[in-house]
Amino acid sequence: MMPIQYDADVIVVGSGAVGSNLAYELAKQGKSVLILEAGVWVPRWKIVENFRTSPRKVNRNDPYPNAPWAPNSYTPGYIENTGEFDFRPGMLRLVGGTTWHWGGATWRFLPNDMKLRTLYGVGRDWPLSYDELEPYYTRAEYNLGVSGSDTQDQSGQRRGAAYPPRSAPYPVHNEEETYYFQRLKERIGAEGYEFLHEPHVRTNRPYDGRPACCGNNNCMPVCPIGAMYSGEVHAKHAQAQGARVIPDATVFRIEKGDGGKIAAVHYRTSLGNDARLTARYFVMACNGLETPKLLLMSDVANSSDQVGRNLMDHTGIGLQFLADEPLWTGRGPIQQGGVFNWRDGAFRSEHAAIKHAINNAVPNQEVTRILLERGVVGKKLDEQIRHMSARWVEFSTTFEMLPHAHNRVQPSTIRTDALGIPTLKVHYETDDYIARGAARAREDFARFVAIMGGTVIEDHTGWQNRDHLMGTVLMGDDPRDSVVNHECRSWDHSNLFMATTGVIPASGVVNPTLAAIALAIRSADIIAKEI
Amino acid sequence: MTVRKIAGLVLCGILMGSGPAKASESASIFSSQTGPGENLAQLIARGAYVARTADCAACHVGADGAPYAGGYEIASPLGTIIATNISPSRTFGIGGWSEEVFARALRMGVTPHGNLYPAMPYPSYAGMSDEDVHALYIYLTHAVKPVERGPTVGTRLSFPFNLRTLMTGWNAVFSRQKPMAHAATAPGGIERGRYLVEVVGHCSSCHTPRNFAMAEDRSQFLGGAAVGGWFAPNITSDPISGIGGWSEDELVTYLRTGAVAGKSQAAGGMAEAIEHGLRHLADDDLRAIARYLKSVPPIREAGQREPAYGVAFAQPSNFEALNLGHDRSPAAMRDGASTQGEQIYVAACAACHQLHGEGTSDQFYPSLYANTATGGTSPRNLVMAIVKGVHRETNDGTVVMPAFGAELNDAQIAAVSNYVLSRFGNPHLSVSAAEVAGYRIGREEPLVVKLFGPAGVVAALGGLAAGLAGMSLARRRRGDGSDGAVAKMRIED
Amino acid sequence: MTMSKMLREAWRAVSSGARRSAGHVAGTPERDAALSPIALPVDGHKFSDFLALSQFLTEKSDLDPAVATRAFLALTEADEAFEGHANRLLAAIQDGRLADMDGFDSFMAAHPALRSTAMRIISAWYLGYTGTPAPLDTEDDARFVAYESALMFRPTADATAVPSYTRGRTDYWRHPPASLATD
Repeated sequence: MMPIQYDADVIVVGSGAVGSNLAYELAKQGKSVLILEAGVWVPRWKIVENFRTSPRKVNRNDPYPNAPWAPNSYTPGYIENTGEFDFRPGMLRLVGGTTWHWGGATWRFLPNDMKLRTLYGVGRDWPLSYDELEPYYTRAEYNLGVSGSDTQDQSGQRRGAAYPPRSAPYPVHNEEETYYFQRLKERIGAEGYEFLHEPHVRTNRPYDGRPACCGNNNCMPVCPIGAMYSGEVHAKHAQAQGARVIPDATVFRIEKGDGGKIAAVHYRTSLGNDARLTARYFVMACNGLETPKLLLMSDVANSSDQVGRNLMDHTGIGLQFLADEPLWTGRGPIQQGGVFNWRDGAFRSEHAAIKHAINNAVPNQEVTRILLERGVVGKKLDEQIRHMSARWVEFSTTFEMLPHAHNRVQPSTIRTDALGIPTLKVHYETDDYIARGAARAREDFARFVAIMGGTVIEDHTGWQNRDHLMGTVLMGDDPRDSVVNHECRSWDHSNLFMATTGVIPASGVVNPTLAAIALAIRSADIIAKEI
Repeated sequence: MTVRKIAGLVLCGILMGSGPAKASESASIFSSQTGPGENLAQLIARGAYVARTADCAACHVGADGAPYAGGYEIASPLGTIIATNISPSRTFGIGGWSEEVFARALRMGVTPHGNLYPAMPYPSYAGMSDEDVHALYIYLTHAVKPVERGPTVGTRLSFPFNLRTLMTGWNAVFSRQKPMAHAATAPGGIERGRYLVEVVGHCSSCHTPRNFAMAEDRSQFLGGAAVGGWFAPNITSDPISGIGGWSEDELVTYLRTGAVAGKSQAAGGMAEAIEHGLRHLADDDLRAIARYLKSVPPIREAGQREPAYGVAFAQPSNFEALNLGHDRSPAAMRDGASTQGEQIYVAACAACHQLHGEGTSDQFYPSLYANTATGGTSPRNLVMAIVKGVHRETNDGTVVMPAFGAELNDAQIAAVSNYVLSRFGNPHLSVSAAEVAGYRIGREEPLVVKLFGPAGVVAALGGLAAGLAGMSLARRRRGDGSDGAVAKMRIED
Repeated sequence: MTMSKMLREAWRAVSSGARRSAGHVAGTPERDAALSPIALPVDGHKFSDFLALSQFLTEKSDLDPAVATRAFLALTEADEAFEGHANRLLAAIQDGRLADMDGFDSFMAAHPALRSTAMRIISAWYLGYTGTPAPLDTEDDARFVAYESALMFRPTADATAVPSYTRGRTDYWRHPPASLATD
């Protein structure tokens, strides 16, 4: 019998942080890997220039080329919302993916986050334990150069010792806290609020060819010096290990083969040329919206009817106020942590866990816009810009969302992009679980403002996107109600894996990218053993 | 660790052999090697200090970072030289060498396996005092862990440079220094500064230009020379071309930290020299070096009128007039091909060095005017800092400038360099894309080859082997080479 | 032209010594951009008037002509009546009805039609864009005017970064700016 020829051992669809880490791990182990990316390579300096010359600095996607053949999520009509909430995360299409613009927060989920159903009777459990994932968390942290505190209880529950357990110290020690963060911690913390320093990927010492963060305050929409990790780092590392990145290759079909296996993927270039590639294994790593869309378009992996369902974001609300003293927000990185009293506890059977993240972005544009709206001009305008900027405080609060079958993403039936590929249709509704959480959070807001002698600018923002896409290809123990198993392997196709935050079945309240990378490294090890 | 690949053997001593060193001489046994009344611990400490000062570890490091394991690749104009194992392994290192054999290798470049090439700065080490040679020997044989493996490949040079015996003639002409007296060269001695600069620190390996046969040209002692793509500047006492305008304190600070605001920041080989060696030296020794440098006979570069750090301010420019960003089409927004120097400067450099080149107020990100990299007589160090970045471990954290050699092509690096030179530095300098390409490779043919060609070398010089000096040697770290027998020839066409 | 020049000189008399040099390091020759003749893609006469009007409204003498060009083009493209309003506003200033920005509110109370024109000009210089940028959309009427030169950054130039530019070595942010006691 002739041996079957494949184009690669493994094809990874998507070159973001999750897919690229998986590709790198496989290439490092000698496997032949192809990475297909809808977008293209763009040099950092060009993105920096695009940012500075953008008229819409508030728009995180704007510095990135938005081609009709690889449209980003802010393209008008690209996401057709049928629910009450305008679900519109800022997703990018270029080599390196959306981690080109993220805050870079890399918390670990807590052991309890993974047992939500068991402990609190709501939502779902993860099909693996924290202890099983822990070694891969460590590897992910060392890949990314995560800086963090080795002594802090990250559950916010004041155990008095480092938590959750770790098998190795953080690769980089955490950076100094800003004066702004110190003062908020001193005053608000004194009233019983638990401030935590976030682990993150803005390295503060040279790491893996990246320079140390020097506080350019521009993590979103682009770190100008590459101190902050993005998926491009491992797209390049994967290449250096022999993987091949094929840009301008939008996968539009997954082809089923014999024996329940996937046989090939089909991609289309910007010129409309189609190609078919075969491999032993396939990994879908094109984020929590595009991945389920592609599966649904291909009628793949959906025997459970759960593909695209259970869509979760850490839907949030915000608070802006002026403190009674100058704090000088805007010095250093754009965020450093926040208030975590509500990260875990028995209350989770009643309402969502809460993370009050503290923003540290230079506020001049928002301050100036407000002053101009008020008609302030002349010397007073300059004086007020300085006065308000010095006192600006901003919280970005997020909630733990539960999976609901009706919150879902599907291929659009009425729109296609320039390649003729369906765009996205999203239905997303908030629920009482986060509404009760939000009520609790607003009580905190009132306390924060009172403690800081504050003047409220905005404390009723309405629901906000947080761009943490989970649940749409969720993992579980039962093939009847989940899309992948604990290995992130499709229940339906033994050679198909998902490498995306979309596999996460219980959202906790922390940024999910690190967990997805840890899971993807674990999947890479599993795939490598089978090839 | 890109930077470790950087050219320039500022302080490195390299023992080179054609293959792994094997035990051949009488065995050295610990206790028998210390003389009467010597305290072994003190001797080892002194030897370790000598090793730091001579920066042995920088070149003799293993491919995996193991100290003194050997295997580090040194790309010379004439081929690849591999630093050997100098750990006390009896099979692969110097464990079987007597002190006498060691001293001959260190000072004369002659080993039991043949002559060394002067990428190992034995012509400098020839002046090392007996006491320091002894201490170094005791340190290497007693305090260093034996590494029981040799480099997987050996030095391979093209004809006629592969004939090690040719070095005998070269040595007779060019390596004639005698050991200096311990009393004058020990800490506090009157010759201490000269000893550190000329002998142990072998500063001249990089900072002194080479003659036709690639030996140091003593008439141009410390007068500045190209090293790989970089330029090791004139460090004579001349106030314009050298370091005469630096205060003693500034020199000490520079040797300790690699940075003096308004003057210079160390990159490339000098950053390595500081990282591995100089920053660990005693204050008194750094002061002795500074004093001695300020006494070295001045050499003035013809036509130079102000010191390289003497550009006091940036030329005005108006980046707003670039009118960037009008075209928001995806094609324009992903197009990174511009060769407009100012456009690249603003987007790639100004985040740290600032729009007007002034750097940050703490000068951690240095100004580009009042900077030897931009205001001197060579664009090399500016170009190479852009290509390779800067990496300098200091006693106060690590300084890094990212490398742009992968993100910008030669034409773009030339464009942004020329913008920086014209606005912040010496406006009479410029650099072409082809020159950038040459600096990147970091190797130039020595004059002797240019003039006569490889075959002509033997005839023309009558057996005087040239080449292979510390000059223009680009070190490269090996990968985990499994193919042990064959080393690729790396001669430039 | 004459009137513009008069305005400039009047302004210089009022504000001499008040120019900020934030962002420039000692020794960097500051450009006197407003006085340099440059070639512009818009009618020279209108442009000079716009620059003079902008200087008056922002109380800044060192406005960049290239930025002025972008602001003028963006504002006129967005609203074809803009130029007419701007001329009326300029005339009011030139004939002394609006003598300085301290009288801005009372003047605008009497001429409400001119307020939005004035605010649009001030806004362009301060915010560095015209129109209303969309945070979650790729299409809006926003136009780029300036970034680093946007006047909103000047009042805090000694304390915070223009985002994407650093202020110093890692961890500089541990300490508040030197001005804290008087902020």
